[in-house]
Amino acid sequence: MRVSLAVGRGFLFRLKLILWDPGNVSIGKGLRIYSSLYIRGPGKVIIGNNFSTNRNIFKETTILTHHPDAVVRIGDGNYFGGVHISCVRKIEIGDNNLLGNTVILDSDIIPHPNMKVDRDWMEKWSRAVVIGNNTWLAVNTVVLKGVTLGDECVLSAGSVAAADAEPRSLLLGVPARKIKSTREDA
Amino acid sequence: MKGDFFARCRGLWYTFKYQYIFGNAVVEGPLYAYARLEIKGPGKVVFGSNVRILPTAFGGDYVSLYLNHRESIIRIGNNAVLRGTRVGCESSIEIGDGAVVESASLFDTDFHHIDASRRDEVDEKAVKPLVIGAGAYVGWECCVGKGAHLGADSVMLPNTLLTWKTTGPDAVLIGVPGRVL
Repeated sequence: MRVSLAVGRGFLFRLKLILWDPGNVSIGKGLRIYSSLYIRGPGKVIIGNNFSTNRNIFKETTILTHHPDAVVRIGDGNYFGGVHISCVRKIEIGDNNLLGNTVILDSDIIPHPNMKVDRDWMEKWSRAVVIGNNTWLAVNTVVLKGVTLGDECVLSAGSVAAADAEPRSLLLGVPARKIKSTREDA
Repeated sequence: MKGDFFARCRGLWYTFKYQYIFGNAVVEGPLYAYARLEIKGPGKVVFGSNVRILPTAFGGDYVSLYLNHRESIIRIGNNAVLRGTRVGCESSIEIGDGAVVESASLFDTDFHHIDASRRDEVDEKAVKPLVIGAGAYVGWECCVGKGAHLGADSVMLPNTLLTWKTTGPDAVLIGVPGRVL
């Protein structure tokens, strides 16, 4: 029942996109929205197949783009629970990720409406963010600008990823450090 | 900016409400309110000109300024931006000109005594004024505690905690407790 409601809400979201026609959002097949999905701003948002989203601790999934050149690319089979994305330049997220209540920023400063975002500002404050496949970002985590998280990374609750992480690392702390591997044999 | 006129009108309403009815704010120049503003308690809030009250970066929520004492004072400089900020003030909190504060918590007191037997005695808590420098940026869900002095033009990255510390200008801070990057 809940799944069919979510699929229905996905169709409503598509209908809204068609009627409103922002022209910068594309979503693949099998969209499921368990509560709601907000996409705002002039940049491009590309979402893959089988994307499902829900709210988590009263927070709704929100994707903001602050510049017409900004690109948010999300792969197939992702689950987003209350994820907040603020994109100035580029954010890439791979396939089959599990994200709960994460804040993903590709700039140190989140631009506010009466702030001028131009090339110089972007050069100074923003770097692209890349997240691999099969990662798990737990509750209340933050991914800062210029960070590349490898495949099968786990970022534990409340930590802030500030530096690149190699594949299959369990990250903990503010700023996050690798404490062990997520595979027993590795 | 879009909706400036309505924000100005709402700012006038909040000026009227808090300056002339409740008497716990002094507004020195135009106030732009894009979100709800809540001021509670017996102290005073001093707004400079062109202060902007915004919802959080990802929408929703409002700005709440709580004054816990008769002599507590919050000074907000010119062109400062508050985005869903939560402030609890016992003595004095100063936000500099052009500072941007995201949905962070600012408090200049511990609210309770650390000794369990004296926890309910309201006058017995640790208090030290807090200063945020001009042009500083306090990031998403940061905590700025008592005695912190954030230097001018410095940046606090998300989820940073800063207490009892004076930082120089142009610093970038991260961590719990905050360190200069």
